[in-house]
Order: sequence, then C-alpha cells, then structure tokens
Amino acid sequence: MTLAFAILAVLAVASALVVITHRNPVICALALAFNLVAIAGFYLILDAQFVAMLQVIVYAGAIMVLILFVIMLLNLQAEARPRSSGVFQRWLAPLGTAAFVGLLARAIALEAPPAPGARPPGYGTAASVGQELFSRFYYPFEVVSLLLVVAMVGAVLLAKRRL
Amino acid sequence: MPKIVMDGQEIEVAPGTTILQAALSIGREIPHYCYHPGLPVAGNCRMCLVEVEKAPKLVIACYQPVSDGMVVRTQSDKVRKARAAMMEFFLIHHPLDCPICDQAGECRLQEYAVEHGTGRSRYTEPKRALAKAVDVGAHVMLDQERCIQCSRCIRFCDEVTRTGELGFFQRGDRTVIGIYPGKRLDNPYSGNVVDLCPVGALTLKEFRFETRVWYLRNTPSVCAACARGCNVMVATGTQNLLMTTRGQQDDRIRRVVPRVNEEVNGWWICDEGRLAFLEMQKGERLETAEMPRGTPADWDAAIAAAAAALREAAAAGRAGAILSPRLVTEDLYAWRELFARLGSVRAGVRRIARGRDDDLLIRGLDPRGAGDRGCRPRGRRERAARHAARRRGPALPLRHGGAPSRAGGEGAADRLRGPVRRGSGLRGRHPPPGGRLVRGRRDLRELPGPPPARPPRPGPARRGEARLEDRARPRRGGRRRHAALDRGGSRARGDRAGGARLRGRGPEGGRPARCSARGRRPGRGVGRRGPVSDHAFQVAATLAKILVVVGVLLGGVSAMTWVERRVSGLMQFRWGPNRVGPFGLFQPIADGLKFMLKQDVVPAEAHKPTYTLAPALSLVPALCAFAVIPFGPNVEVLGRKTSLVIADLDGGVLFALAAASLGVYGVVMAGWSSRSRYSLLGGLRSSAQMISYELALGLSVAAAVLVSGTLRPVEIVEQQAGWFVNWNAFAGGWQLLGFVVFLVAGFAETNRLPFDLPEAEGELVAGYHTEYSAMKFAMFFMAEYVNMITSSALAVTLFLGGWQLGVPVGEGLAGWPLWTLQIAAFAGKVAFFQFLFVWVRWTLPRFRYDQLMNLGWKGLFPIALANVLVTALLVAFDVVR
Repeated sequence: MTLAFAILAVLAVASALVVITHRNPVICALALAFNLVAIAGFYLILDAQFVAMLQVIVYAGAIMVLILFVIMLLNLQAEARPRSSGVFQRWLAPLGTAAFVGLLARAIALEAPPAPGARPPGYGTAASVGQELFSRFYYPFEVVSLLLVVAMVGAVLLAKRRL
Repeated sequence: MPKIVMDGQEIEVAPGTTILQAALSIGREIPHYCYHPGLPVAGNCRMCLVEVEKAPKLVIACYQPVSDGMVVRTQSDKVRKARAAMMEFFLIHHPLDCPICDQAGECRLQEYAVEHGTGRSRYTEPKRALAKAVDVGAHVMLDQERCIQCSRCIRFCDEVTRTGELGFFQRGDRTVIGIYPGKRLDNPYSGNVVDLCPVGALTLKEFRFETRVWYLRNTPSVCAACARGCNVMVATGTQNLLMTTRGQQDDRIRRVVPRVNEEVNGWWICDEGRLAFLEMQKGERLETAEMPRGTPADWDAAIAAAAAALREAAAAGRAGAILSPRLVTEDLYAWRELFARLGSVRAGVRRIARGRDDDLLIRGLDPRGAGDRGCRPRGRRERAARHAARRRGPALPLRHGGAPSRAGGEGAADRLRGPVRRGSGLRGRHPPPGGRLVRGRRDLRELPGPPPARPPRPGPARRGEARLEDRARPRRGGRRRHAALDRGGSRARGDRAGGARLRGRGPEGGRPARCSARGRRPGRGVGRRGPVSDHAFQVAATLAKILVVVGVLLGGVSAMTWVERRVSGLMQFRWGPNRVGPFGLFQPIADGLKFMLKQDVVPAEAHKPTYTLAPALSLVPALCAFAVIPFGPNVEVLGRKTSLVIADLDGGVLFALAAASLGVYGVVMAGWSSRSRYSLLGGLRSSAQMISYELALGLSVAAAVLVSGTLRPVEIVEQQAGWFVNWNAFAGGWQLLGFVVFLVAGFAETNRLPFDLPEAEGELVAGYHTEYSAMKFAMFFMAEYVNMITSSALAVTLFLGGWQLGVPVGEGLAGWPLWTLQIAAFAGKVAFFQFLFVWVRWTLPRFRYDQLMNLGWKGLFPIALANVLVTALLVAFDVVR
C-alpha cells in the first residue's frame, strides 16, 4: 500500500508540475487528465472505490475531454508563449505559497492519522455512499444540485442570448 | 442458358457471360477502354455503360453478368449521352497531338471521339502538364499526358507478369501513371503494355516514329524465337508515303505484335520474340556469293566450287555438318540427305543447350539466339551452357539457318536443295519477302513425312504449353474477377494498408489454452498446504483468467477482421478474402505478419511522445473494461470455487464505463499529435461524439442498474436467471427501450458505422489514424474491435442475461457441461452483436455531423432520460422485481 502510494504520489506531483510548467496547452490538459486519474488511484487506496470511478468517469472521461476539445478547436497559439507576470504577482506568489504550505503543515501536525483497517463493511461502495448522501448529507446534496442547475441555466442563457 | 434481349435482338448466352461479352458474341461492339479479355475486370473507364431495363442507373457492361430476361439497350439516348459525357471527361486533360502521336490510326480514343464524342469541350481551364517521353523501361516510353487511366498496363504487370512495376500515383484528377520508385519496366513481357495501351501513352521504343500504322500490312505468323511458337502478327511496310510514291523499296518488318491464340500464347508475346526481327534485318546476311579470300563470284560458280570442295572433303572423310536445331524440318532433312549421298554420316544437329524458361511463355529460349541479349540465365547449369556456347563460337560455319535474301538467293537455295527434291517430295521453303518468319515448332510437329535427324526436343515445349493453359484458365474465370473487385471495393481506410484491412494475432486456438494450463498449475501445487494456498489460488486463477480473456479477445479481434470482410462480401455479392487458406481463413495471419513487418512511418512533424502513446492508450482501456464482465457462472476448479470474471467489483458497471470513457484519449491524442488536419478533425469529432453519446449510454445503464438494484455485474446476471423473459430487456426489467438506446449509443462509442465520423474516409482520408502505419495502425483497429466486443458483452450482461441460457436449467445438468454451455451462451450472444455491427455497417449510410448531434442530444438523450424516470416509477411501485 505504501509502495502504491509512493508511486501514485510521484506520478501525481510530476503530472501536476507538467500542467503548470509546460508551454503547450494540449500537453497541459493531457497531464491534468493523467493527474486526475492518479488521484482516482488515491481514492482506491483509501477504499473509496465509488468515488474513484466517478472521478475517472466525470473528470478524466468527460470534463477533461471537453477541455481538450475546446483547446484543440480554438487552437490556442498565443497561450504557447509564457506571459510576463506583473510585479505584484512576482512578489506575492512566494508569499502565498509559503502561507499555503504552512497551513498544510499545521493541519497535518494537528490531525492524527486515521487508524487503518477500522472501516465498516461495505465502506466506499455505491450503496454506502448513497445512504450517506441521502440521509446525513441530504441538504448539502440538494443545495449542490441547485447550484449546478443554476450554473447550467446561466451557461445556456449566456451562450444562447439570442434564443 | 439465360436469354437476353439486346437492342431488340434476342440472344442466348452461357450463364456468367457479361453483357459486353454477350454483345461481342453477336458482333456488336460496346465501346470500352479498361476491359481486356486477358485481364481481370476493373470497371474504371465507365465507357461501356449500357442501359438495362429496371436497373436504376446505367450499368457497366464489362462487369455485369447477364441474367435471364434481361433487356439491354446499347444505343439508347441515355447511353449515347453517357458515352459523349465520358469522352468529354477523357479529353479534358488529353493533349490533342494525334499528328505526332504514334498511336494515331489505331487509337481507341481517336476512334471513340469520332464515333461517340460531341466534338467540343466545355473545359476552358488550362490542361494539366505532365511528363512526356518518360523512359520507363528497356523498350517502353511513357507519355503521362496521354494516359486515360484505364489501368490495363497496371493490371498486366500485377496479374500477368506479377512484377508490379506500374501504378497510379496521386488521386482524383491529379492521378498519373508511373513506375514505382527504384523500379523499371524491365520484365521480359514489357512490350505487351504497349499493345494494351488503348492510347499513345505507352509506346515501344523500337517502333516510335518509325512509320504510320496505315502504311503497314499485317501477315499472320508464328514466332520462332523459342519453342513456344507464339502466334504473332508481322507488320511490314514502308516508312512513309513519300517513299512509296517514289517507288523506293523500303519494305521491311516494322513490328511484331501478338496474335490471339488462347491455347498457345493467349494475348501476349515476350519481348525477345517481339524484337527478334531486328536481328534478322541487321543486314549481316550473306547476300552475294564469295569465293575464298573474299573475291566475289556469281552464284553458279560459287556453288560449283563449294560442291567440289565438299565432294573432295567427303572423299577424304573430312566433311561434316553441324546444324542448328532451329532449322526447318525440311532443311534438316535435306542436309542429312545431302551428306548421306556424299557418303558421310557426319551431319548432326547441335545439341540443344538448355535454354531459359519461365512459367509464362518463354520456353527453352536458345541461349545463343536472340534470347541471349539482356537476359540472365537462371540456374548454374544454364549459365554453364551459355558460357560453353560462347567459347565454341558460331557452331555453323556454313551459315544456313537464316533465310537468303531475295536478290540472287533463290537459285542458290534451289540448287542446294536440288538433290533431295525428287526423293522427299518436299518443296523448298523460303520466307516470303519481308514477311513470314522462319517456321516454328508447331509447323514442325504437324509435318507429314520422316522425322528430322534428331527432333529438336518437342517434349518440354509441349509440357510448357499445357502449363500455360492451366494458368490461363483461372485468369479469365469469374472468381478471379470477384477477387479483383474485392480489392477495388474494399473500404478506403482498409486500402491504406494496401488493399487488405487488418491486423490480427493468429487463430484463436493455441495461446490462450496453453496459458491457462500454465496459469492454473501452481494452484494445484500449493492447494494441499492449507490456508496460505487460498490466496495463491486466487492469484493464480486471476492470472489465468486475465490470460484467457486477453487471448480470447485478441483472437476474437483477428477472427472479426475475417468475419467483417466475409460478411461484407456476402452483402455485396463478392467473395471477400479468399486467397489465403480455405475461405481466406488465414487472412488474419497474413495481415498480422504484414503489420509486424511493415515500415513504421512517423510523420516528421508529429509530437512523438503522444503520437507513440496514443495507440496503446486506445487499446489498453478497451481491454481493461472487459475485466468486470462475467463470462460464466461460479465454477469449481480443483475443489475451490471461483467466479468467471476477472474482477468481481462492487461498482463493476461504473468501472466499465470509466475504462470506456478513457479510450477517447487515445483517439484525441492520435488526432492531435499527428499534426495533420484530417487527423485533428477526426480527433475533434471523436471527442465530441464520445461525450454526447456517453450521456445517453450512461442513462440507459442507469435505468438497468435501477432495475437490478446493484452495480455489481455478477449480481445483475444472476438476477436474470430462468426463462429469457426474465432478462432485463424483457419482462425482467422492461428495459427494451433502454437496451435500444444502449445499442445505438454503443455504436457511436465504438466509432462504428453509421457513426464512424472520426474516420470518415470520404472526408477525412482515415480520420484520426490517417498518419499511422504498421503495428501502431493495427493497434487502433484492435482497439476498435475490442471495444465492439466489450460493449456487446456489456449489453449482454446488462440487458440480455449475460451467460444465462434463457431457459430454466434442469436438475440433471450441472458441473462442467452446464458451465461450458453457459460460457457458450455468453459467447454466442456476443458473437451475434459482432455480426450485427457488420450488418448495420452495410445497411445504414453514415450520418452527417448535424444528424449525429441531433440524434444524440435531441433523440437519445431525452428518450434515455424519460426511460430512467419511467423505470424509477416502476421500481418505486414495485412493478418490477
């Protein structure tokens, strides 16, 4: 398990680095898709197989394909060149990064790692996730659904203004 | 015997006769360029279009076989218009250079232009300019502008000599004919392409600009260059009209062309025979008599001197003659008689050195004769024979064998024959002036009277003749024609790979079985040792299952490549693969070998890492998706239970969808990394299509899952036990609609017709894999077929009971027989869908892009959504399960 985690971690971090450093937007998008699949691997390690599969289907299989589609369709040449960053960005970026790393370190230090193997039977399956979703997390789930509907209506309204 | 009516005349012809042949049999010619009785039918000139009653369009007479009651019109208005239109097309780029063209006078284009053309062209743009006087071979010159792309010469080189030097290059109106790089049209039959060429595109170097064909007189003859005895037409004539009117004698052989004799030479002759006359006309013959030391003498004196010398030598016992085996029988006989009367028996025929043979026409070509030029002896023995012949020098100091020229030669020859004339009753033979060649073997055989001193070994020649007939017959047969069209009609993307489409891994047998045996053995080995072995057994069993599944899938892929083409052939009245193995069954092996050995071309501009990764990314997800599909029930192996599924996942259905959704990356990456517009468009289309149809697909799966109440494929299948009405598609889940939606979306997800827009060959060459070759190309096709099998297996699992038999299982049936039956049921159901894929391919035309999107978003998506709603209601009110 530790070995799998190590491999996945290296892959995930490497692909994430490619996403932000590579000049070619198509390669960035492909690396991001790879990164998402690697994260699905983390879910699997954590016994969350339902989430892992949704991660692949929704993010890697649908959203990233759409993004790729748009990039290829628009053939973004201008993006291939690095944009010059402003003075503020140049100074603020290290600060922001340092703050984020500090927060992460604090969180890891505070939280004890969960005891392994203490999971109930059926943990992470579609059934258990469904049970949780429609009992404990019923209201958040409905609010998120509403948010998505609003987003969709908004998108259609913006895209088809002349409708 | 079908009876047909042609232009009002009723005729009866043999079944299988084409319209064109039927017309020829009653002496009516239907104009044609590409058709030739000695070549497979190509049907690409469209000149022989005729009207057939009840046929919606004009049909090509050279390919359409007659059927009983067919009414054919070869002279109707429609036909005439079609011919005129074709002539206009032919002449669009054709140079009007008849005055300087060698073909003038025997040019089909000329003839048809007058007979069928309109006499005017509407084409005002500049004509295309191509290479003229291209030196393509030892005897042939090519004028690309004059070519009308009838492909006769290409088919000759491909099918008759099987040397394949010529080909079409470029496409559409840029098509030109030419020789392949690094090749030359140097096969020993190259001259025939000149005869075949209906226009002046291919001309013979030895005849170019020699004379006009209308100055020629044709004399039927038999070629004497080898033992075959090909029937030829010898054309003699003057060089031009001026010389004739001046009374100049310039009557020479100008060319030799084949004369059809299906039993001897078919329609062809070899280049040696075609050009043998050049040797005869070199002017190196004995034309005047000479006394020793070169003093000229008149014939009577010379002959008297020769006779005296002979007699003297004979008396001293020093006379002898070595005769050429190519002499006419009568001459050989005369020589023998002469020496017999001189009292010497030393007149013999030179032993025939084993000549050059091939399996087409050339038989025992004498290595010392005309055939010595430019041909390489094949065996060591032949080389040695030729070498020896060279060292010996001319074997016939008496120089008999060539015909004496007309001037003054007559009397001498008569005199020489004199003594034997009375006895033999044979008449002396002379070649007619400039006409007939020396008589060949056939005449020899037919001659009455005594055999020659030593017959010039007719045996092998006759054997060769028989072989020729054997070879000639299938070439004209119907099957052959089908095969040729099969190649022409096969799908264009297949043609990219060189006519045949795919890519396989060999037959289904050996590999999987062997692997499974190897995989299971460890299980037995550790099985006796207690609880640790459970884990080992599971690992071994899983490995075995993986190997079997991958093996069967890849075997199924190679089987599908054969099925696809055979079924396509069935639906299009042609044969499909039929060359390699019985019914072409070994074709997948041949394809597989080809894909492994072909050069792997990578475009220079390609983004190499993604370009290389794309085929694998296409194939691997397709294989992975099958992991969750149960292909049989729980079975007992070596006392332990195991389920016949690689991974019995709780969310198995989702896993299959996830794997399938990743397959699109291979296509998109291939399209993008190739740096080709066609590929990119194919990749774009693919991603849009996959996303659109994934929705309908997912919703139809969701409804099935609603009914089953689980995402675990093993459970879904177990629920559908009993009669087949219990299957989810029927009363078990009322999912017939969902099943249909799944099926349609499945066709789109696998890029199969009618949804194969990502590789639409009419618009995108081959879409996303345009720039791929060899094994990488093959991997895309393997992925397509694996996807077909996997999506069918998923449909079977979700809707059609998986491995369930569809009938209640009786008590008596259990254990291995039952399992085998159930696995077979699963395989059978999946196989049916494979057939369906091919069936639909030739039933529905490809969708247009907007139609595709409309169907996906406005058709399937709402239907699938409604289906989910209705299913949810049914489940909520306990109507199902």
